[in-house]
Amino acid sequence: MSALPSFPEFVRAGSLRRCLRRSLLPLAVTLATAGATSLDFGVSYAPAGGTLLEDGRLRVGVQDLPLAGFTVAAGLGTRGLDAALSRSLVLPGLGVARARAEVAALYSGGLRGGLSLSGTAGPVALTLDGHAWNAGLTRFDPLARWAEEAPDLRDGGAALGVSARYRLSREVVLSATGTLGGQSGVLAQAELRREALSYRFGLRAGQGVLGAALGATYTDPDSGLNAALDLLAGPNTFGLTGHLGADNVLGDGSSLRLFAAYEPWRTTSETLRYGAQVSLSLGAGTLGLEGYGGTRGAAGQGFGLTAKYLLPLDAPDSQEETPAQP
Amino acid sequence: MTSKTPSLLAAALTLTLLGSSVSQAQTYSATDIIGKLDAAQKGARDLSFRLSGSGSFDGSAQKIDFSVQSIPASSLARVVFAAPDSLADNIVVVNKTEVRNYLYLTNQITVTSTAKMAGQSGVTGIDFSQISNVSALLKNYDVKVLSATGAAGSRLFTLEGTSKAAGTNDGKTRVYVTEAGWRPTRLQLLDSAGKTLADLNVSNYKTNSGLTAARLTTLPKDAEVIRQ
Repeated sequence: MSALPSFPEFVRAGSLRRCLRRSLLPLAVTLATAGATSLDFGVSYAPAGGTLLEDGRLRVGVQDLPLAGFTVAAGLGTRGLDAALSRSLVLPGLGVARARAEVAALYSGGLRGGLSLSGTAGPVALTLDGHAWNAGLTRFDPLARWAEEAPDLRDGGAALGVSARYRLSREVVLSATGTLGGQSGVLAQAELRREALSYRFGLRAGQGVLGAALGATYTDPDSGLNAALDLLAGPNTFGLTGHLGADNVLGDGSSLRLFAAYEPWRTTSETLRYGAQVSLSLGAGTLGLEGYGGTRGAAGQGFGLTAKYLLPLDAPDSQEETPAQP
Repeated sequence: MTSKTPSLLAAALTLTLLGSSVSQAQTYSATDIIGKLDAAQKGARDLSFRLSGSGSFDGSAQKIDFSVQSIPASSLARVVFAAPDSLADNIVVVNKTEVRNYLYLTNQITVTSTAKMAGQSGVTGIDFSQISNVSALLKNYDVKVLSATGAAGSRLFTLEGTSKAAGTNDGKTRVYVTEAGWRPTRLQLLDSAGKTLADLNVSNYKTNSGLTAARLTTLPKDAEVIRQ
């Protein structure tokens, strides 16, 4: 005979309701007074010869949830769980310091963890981040392999990154980014701004890559149109990346972004990646529709689609505390 | 600077929100001027001006230049920095509940609730939570008319504000107001020893130029948002 009440008995006795009230009420009050705690829903699919469940992913998550002085994000999906904890300190008018830790776990066994520390004060910005994992990134997110910023796709390993930016003068920024991990290397550039155009020139050097890194970005302050092109050229290296973004072309509050990257010099990321991202205001939240494609390891080309919805939990001007009714 | 440093920008905005009024040959007390200020703040639909001059941060003198646009009725204000270089192109947007700070260097927007920001003036000595909030400013400061110079009708009044907090001697804020049009012409921030920490001139002063809340709150869409 079990000493514990069965589940139906538990509910009937009202214990469950009391239990929910105790845990939901503080949570609801926290949510109601939160800046912009949001729920996000996402579904992704990248056909790879397997079943719908194997090649797709469904995920529900919460973002920007304040908890005991930290900001928490968490997600539950068909592939696994993930959580992120961050804490930031805003220096009024001057900058911000932030620490963020994230962890993701797969149901089938597999763990990813990362820690990132960043700070900006006046003309200096510094970021340090480290990651370690024992399962490939695409097992967590089928579309991650085609992200605009090349991800490390190794099945297991660790990576350390350092990034520094220094504003030399109003129009000149010096930046250096270094990675130690799959394909270690450094990218050092000087950015020069002239009205709506910004030029970058520098050097990228690392394992299997050496070349001049040149780029230009155009930003129209009024319409939000922005376009960028980056070229890497060296004795045995070539790469080309670019993006195009526009606001409000698909209705008010919408944004569109197209990108493409051809980087045959990469050894731990896909060499061809391209995608289109659309975000639209829908009801109280934002709908995102994205399509990606590119090379898939040595197995030719692949593509994937994702749809996501971000719903802020409180009205913009809400200042009332409203406890949830269990 | 401590968190109790008189808020330079708050003083600038609140004491400068004066609409045009008929100038008369009469003596104005600080209460009178502030009364006009309150009435004018309710009258002007929007306000914009530029503050430029020099200030000393941690002992070294630096050029300061920023422009302010505000819609007083909504307690909305936008500050865009032009100098010093390290802060240039940073934007601060303040409304009733939040302060959003766009950092040009890293393309990030930090979001802090006004409650958390209250009293924090940081390195720049600017208490952004007090912008466009006359009664809040008055609660914390004693304002008096230091002097009135010039001919009747176009006199220049010097208003001085001191922190009311008991036992503090954290310095003063001085605003020079011209009777002709009741516009501020100059702002000074002094420390407890009377040394000038910042000396700024007001220029490009405009009211009712058709500013919209959308224009004041717009920030780059691709910036990363960091909430405190």
